[in-house]
Amino acid sequence: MSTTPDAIKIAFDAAVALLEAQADSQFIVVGYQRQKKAAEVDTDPALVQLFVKSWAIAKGSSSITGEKTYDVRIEVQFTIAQPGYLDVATIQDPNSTPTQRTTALLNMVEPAQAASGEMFKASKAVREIFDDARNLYLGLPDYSIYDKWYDNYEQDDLPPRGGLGILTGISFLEFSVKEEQLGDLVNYPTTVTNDIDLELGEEGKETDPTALQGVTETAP
Amino acid sequence: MHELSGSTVILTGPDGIPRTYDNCIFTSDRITESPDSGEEIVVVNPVASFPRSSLTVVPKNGEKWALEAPLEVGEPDELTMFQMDNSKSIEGGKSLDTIILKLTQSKQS
Repeated sequence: MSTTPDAIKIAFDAAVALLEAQADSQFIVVGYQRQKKAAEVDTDPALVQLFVKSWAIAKGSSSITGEKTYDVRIEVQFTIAQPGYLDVATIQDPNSTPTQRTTALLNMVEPAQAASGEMFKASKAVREIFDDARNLYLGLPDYSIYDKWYDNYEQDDLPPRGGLGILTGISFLEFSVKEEQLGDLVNYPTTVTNDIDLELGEEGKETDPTALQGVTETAP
Repeated sequence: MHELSGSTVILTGPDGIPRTYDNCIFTSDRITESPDSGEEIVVVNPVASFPRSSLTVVPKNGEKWALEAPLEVGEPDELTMFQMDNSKSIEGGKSLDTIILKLTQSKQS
């Protein structure tokens, strides 16, 4: 891919599109930070938010104009909010026996347990997509990005209260891209053309004073 | 804070027998603090309080209970299912005569 002024955005959009295409109902993905690490309503399936967390240029490695190499860090944020699960129909059915209701209560699933299962499923799915060798360049032409790396994941603590089991986690997708640096310098140095033919005498002095007329200056 | 006083709720416990109570105070807190950032975050936190003496069977910590309560004022017959949060103690109220059930939302399994 030839370098463009939008290389970072192109690579980021490709990462989002890749997850969208291969989510397979295991999560939904948005290419921006839609909400903080919290949820008011249950998520089904998990919500995956991608956004450019940071980029950096190594000092001293880039020229003023031309191509620059950006080290990009994309945050991948997971949000799961799950209620508990219970055989509600049996509990509410006036014809249910006490034994049936007791069994339904014993089989209830806690919100934290439900959220934990969903988080494992979503984080594993994203990892498999980004680490797949076929996605080395995020679906872009070969060598569009460099040093793609997706190697970490961290889960946060549960909020202390709440009617839902809320779990959040983060991971980072890192890669480098070359981006064309726009802009033009205001002053260009004068180009000096030397076309001097000096004939030096025995004492090293020019013998023909008109020889310096060979020096010309070209305007920028 | 969202509160419905004197709500009629149906409580079902380990014996499998649903019991109706009309003196429940049902609240739904909406603000808590994120354990990671310390910021205020919005979380729905349903809680049902009962006078201990009014309960035929008193819930105990670790037991599995289901509660149906109306969420909307003026819609007493529209009951929503909740389940008791077993990670929270039922005690902790200002009065020993009050049982406090911390609840979580519940969906059909």
